[in-house]
Amino acid sequence: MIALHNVEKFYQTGPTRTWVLRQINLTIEAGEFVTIMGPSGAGKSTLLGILGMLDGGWSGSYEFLGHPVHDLKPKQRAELNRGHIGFVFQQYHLIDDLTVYENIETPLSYRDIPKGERQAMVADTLDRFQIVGKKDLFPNQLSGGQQQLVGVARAVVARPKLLLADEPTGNLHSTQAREIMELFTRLNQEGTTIIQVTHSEENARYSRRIIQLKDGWMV
Amino acid sequence: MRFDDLRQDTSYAWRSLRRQPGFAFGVIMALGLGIGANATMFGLLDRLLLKPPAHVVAPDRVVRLQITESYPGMGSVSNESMAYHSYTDQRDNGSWFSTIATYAVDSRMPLGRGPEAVNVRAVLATASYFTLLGVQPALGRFYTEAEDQPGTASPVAVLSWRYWDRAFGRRNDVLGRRMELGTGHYTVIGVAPQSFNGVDLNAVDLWIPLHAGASDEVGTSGEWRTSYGWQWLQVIGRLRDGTTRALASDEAERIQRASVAQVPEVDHQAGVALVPLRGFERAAVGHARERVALWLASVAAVVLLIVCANIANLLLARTTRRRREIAVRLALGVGRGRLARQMMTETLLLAAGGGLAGLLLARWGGALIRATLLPDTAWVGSPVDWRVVLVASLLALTTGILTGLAPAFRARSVGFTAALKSGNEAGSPRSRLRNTLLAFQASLSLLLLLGAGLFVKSLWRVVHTDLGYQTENVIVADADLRLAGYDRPGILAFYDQLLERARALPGVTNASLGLNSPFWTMNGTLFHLTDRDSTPMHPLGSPKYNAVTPDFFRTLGMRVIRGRGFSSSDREGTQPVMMVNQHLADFYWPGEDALGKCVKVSSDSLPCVTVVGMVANARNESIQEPPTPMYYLPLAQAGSRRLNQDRILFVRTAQDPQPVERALRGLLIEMAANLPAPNIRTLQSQIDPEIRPWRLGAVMFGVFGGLALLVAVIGLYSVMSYVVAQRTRELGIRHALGAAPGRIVAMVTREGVGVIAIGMTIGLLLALWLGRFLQPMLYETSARDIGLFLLVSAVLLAAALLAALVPALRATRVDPLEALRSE
Repeated sequence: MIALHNVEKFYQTGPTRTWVLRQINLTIEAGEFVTIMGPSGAGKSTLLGILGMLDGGWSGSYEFLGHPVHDLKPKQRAELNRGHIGFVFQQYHLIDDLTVYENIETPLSYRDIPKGERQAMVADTLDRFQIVGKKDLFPNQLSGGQQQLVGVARAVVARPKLLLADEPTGNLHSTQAREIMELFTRLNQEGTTIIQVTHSEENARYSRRIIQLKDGWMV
Repeated sequence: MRFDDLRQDTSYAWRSLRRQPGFAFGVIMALGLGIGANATMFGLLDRLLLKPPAHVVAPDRVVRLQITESYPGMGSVSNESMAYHSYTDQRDNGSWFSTIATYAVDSRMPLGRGPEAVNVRAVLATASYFTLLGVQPALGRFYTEAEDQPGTASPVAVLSWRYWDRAFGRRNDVLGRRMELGTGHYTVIGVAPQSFNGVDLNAVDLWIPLHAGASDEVGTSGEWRTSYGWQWLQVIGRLRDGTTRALASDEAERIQRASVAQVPEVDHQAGVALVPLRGFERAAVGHARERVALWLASVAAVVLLIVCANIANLLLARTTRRRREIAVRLALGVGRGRLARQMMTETLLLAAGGGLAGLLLARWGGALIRATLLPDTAWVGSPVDWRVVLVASLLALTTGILTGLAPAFRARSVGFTAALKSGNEAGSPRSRLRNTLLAFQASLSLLLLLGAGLFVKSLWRVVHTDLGYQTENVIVADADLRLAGYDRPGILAFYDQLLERARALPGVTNASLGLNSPFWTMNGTLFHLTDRDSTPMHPLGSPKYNAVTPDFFRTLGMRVIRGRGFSSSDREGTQPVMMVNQHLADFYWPGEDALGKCVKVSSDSLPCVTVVGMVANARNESIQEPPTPMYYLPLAQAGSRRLNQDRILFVRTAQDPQPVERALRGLLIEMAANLPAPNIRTLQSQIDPEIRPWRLGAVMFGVFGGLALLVAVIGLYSVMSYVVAQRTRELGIRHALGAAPGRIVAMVTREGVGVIAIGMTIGLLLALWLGRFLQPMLYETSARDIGLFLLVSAVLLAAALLAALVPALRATRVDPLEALRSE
C-alpha cells in the first residue's frame, strides 16, 4: 500500500539546514496496524503528515496505492488524500462551531457526496459509534473521550483505506485510551490500515509492527 | 460551486460571526460608515451631475449653450448666460437643432399682496421649452407660442407639482385660478408632472411665458430683446437626429460671431460650446456645488479604502488565529479553493451587513446634507433610490472581495504540520502585509486630515476676510412698491418715511437707504474724467456706483479714510459730490490726491461731480473678486442723474436682528397693506452662498478626516493588541531577563508608530503632489502650507502613539511565568 524510499525533509533557517527526516525507507502493506515511536523531535508527526500528503517540501519517493505521490501536484495529492485517508489528532481538533453531526459530516461534504447519501453515512457512523444521542451537541459539551470518539468517527466516516492517528490517546485517561485503542483494533480487523504515532508502550502493543525514529532517522 | 456548499459555508460563517459579536459588529459598523459615506456621496453626485432631469425625453440629445468670452485683464470666462438676441440668432439661423428654447432661471417673483404675500421661484421660459423637453403635463396643458408674445393680455402660468401640492393641496380646481404674480395676473393652465423641475437643480414653483414675466425681471424698456449686452438667459437645444455636438457647436459659434461682429464691447471671438444638461463639463464652468461634490466623492472613496485596509488587517489577524482549524479542515480533505471560498463567504456576509448599515446611513446622511449644505437644490425622492441601492450593493460586494482577499490567500498558505503543532497563536508578530496595510491607512488618513485642515483654514480665511463692511446684525430690506400701485414719487416718499420709522424701531442703531446692495445688485454708468483727454479703461469695466443716504457708511460699518462723508446739506441743488473707494482713486489718479477731482457721471451734459471723500475698499459682488473701482453719490442728488431709482433699506441692530426683521415686516405691511412680499434678509445671508462651498468642504472633509483618523487609530490599536498577544511568550522572557517596563513599552510602541510614520511620509509626498489639484478650491491658503502639514502630522502621530501605548502598557503586565507556562 505504502512505499517510501529515501524520503527526507529539512527546514532552512538562514544558512542552517535543520533535518527533520533522514533517509526514510518504509513499506506498509494494506491491513497492517503500525506504530511509529520515538522521542520528541524525532520527526514522527512530520512523517505522519507526509504519509497523509498534507505536508510538502520533502524529497525522495512515495508510492501510495500504486500512485507516485512524489510526482503528483498538490491538488492531485489532496484528491488522493480525500479519497483514501482519514486523520485522528491528539487534541481531537473538532470544529467548535459545528455539532457532532456536522463535524462528522464535514469530510463527506468535501468529497462531493450528495446530501442524501451524506445523511445516511453519518447516521450509520453515529450508530456504529453509539453516539446518536449526542449528535446535536457541540464539542465543548463533550468529555475528552467523547470528543476523541467523535474525532475517530469523523476520520472513518468516508471509509478510508488508511487511518493516520497522531497521539490519539495523548489527552485521555487510561480507560478512555483503552476504548479508543480497542476501537482501532476493530477497525483494523475490518480492513482499515492504521498507522499511529504514540509515546505509549501500551498503545504500541495494539499494533503489529513498531517503527522507531530518532533524530529523523529510522533506527 | 454547488448550492449545498454555499449553504453550508454561509451557515458556518453566520455561526462563526455570532460567536464573536463584538468583532462582527465592529466590522459591520466600520464597513457601514465607509459604504454609507460613499452611497451618500453617490446620491449627491447622481443628482448634481449624473441623473438626467426627470421627464425629459432623450436627455442625451438636449444640450446647453455655453459661451466663452475673453476680456482684457480677465482672461477667458465661460458662462451660460446669453442675450435674447443671441437666442433668436441661433433659432433663426441654425440648422442642427430640431427645437431651441431659452429661459431665465431662478427668478424670485412676488405672489399676492398684503400679509399673505410670498415670493415664489419662477422660471420665465419660451413655449418651446416644454416642447423641446418632451414633458407632458400632469394636469391641464402647457402654454403655446401664441401665449408667449409681447403684450399678451392674459398671461398664463404652469405650476410645478411640488408647488401645486404645497399651495393647493393637489386640488384639480387649480386650473383657471388667477394669481397676482409680479405686476401681472396669471391664470393657471396646467401642472407639470411630479418630479419635473426643469433642467436645473434649484427648486421651481412655476413656469411663466418669457415675454409675460420679462418686464418684472429686467424692466419695461424692452431693450433686452435687441441688445447683446443683456445676458440673462440660458439657451438649450435638442439636436436633430444624426447631428453631433461637435457639428452643432461649430455652427453655433459661427452664428454667434457673425451676429456680434459689429457690436462694440462684446467679444467678437467668443467661443460657443454645447454641453450636456448634466455632467462634468458643467463643473468646469464654475459651478462650485458640482466641483465640491466631486471632491467629496473622491474623499469618501478614500475613506472606504482606509476602512477596507483596516478590516483586511482585522480579518488577517482572525485568519491567523484560526490556523489550527484551517489545518484540521485541510486534513479532512477540504480543497484550498473551497477553503478560500469559505473565508470569502464570511467576509461577504460581513460586507452585506455593512451594505445594509451603509444604506441606513445614506438615508440619514443624505437627508442631512440636503437640508443643511445644499438647501436650494430641488431634491426628488428619497436619498436612497434604486441607483443608490445598486451602488451600495456593488460597493459591499467589492469591499467584501477586497477585504477577503488577504485572509483567503493567507488561509491557502497555512502549513499543516506547523499549524497543528503551534496552533492558533503562532502567527508571525511581524507581517509585511499587515504593516503595509497599516502604512496605507496612515498615508490616506493623513491626506484626508490635510484636506480638512486646508478647507477649514480656507473657510476661516473666508469668514474673516475683511469685506470692507461689518456684516453682523445688518438687515437689508426692499419691496416692489410698483406692484402695490405706487408711482415714482410715491415710492421715494414711502422709503423716506420707512427710513424715519425704521430708525425708531427698538434695537435699531443706524438706518440708511441706497440704490444698490452689496452682494445683491450693482450698477455702472457713464464715468468720465474731466482732467484729461480720455478716461482709462479699467480691466473690470466702468466703476460701479451706489447712491446712499448720509448714514450709509456707519450703517454698514465702512471706513471713511479721507475727506468727509455725506451730510444732509448734500442735496438736490447743491454742489454735486461723490465719495470714491481707495482703488478707484489709485487707478484713476495714481500718485495724486483724488479729493477735489471732478468727474462726469451718467451724462456729459450734467455738471461734474466733485470727490469729497474716500472709503476703504469693500467687496461688492464676490468674496474672491479683485479690487473694483466703486463710487458713492448722495441719494438726494441721484434723481437728477437719472440713475437706477430703486430703493433698498439698510438697518443695523444692536443685537440679534431677528426681532427687528419681524418688526420691519410688520412696519412695511402697516404702511402698505397691499404690498407684495417684502424681501427682508440679513446682509450676511446675501454673502453666505459665497461661503457655502468652503463651508461644505470644511464640514465634509472634517467629518471624513475625523472618521479616517478614528478608523486608522482603531486599526492600529487592534493590530498592536494582536501583536502583543502574539509576543506574550517573548515579552515574558524579556521581563524575566530583567527588561524594565519602560523598555518594553518603548520597544512595542516604536514598532507600531514606526509603521505609521512610514505611511505618513508617503502621505505627505502624495499631498505635495495632489496639492495642485486642490489649490483652485482653496481661499488664500496654500495647498502646501507647511505649518498645517506639521500640525496634522503631529495630530496623527499623537493619535498613533496613544493607540500603540495602551496595548504596549498591557505588555508590561505580562506575567513571565504565565507567559512561559502558556507555551
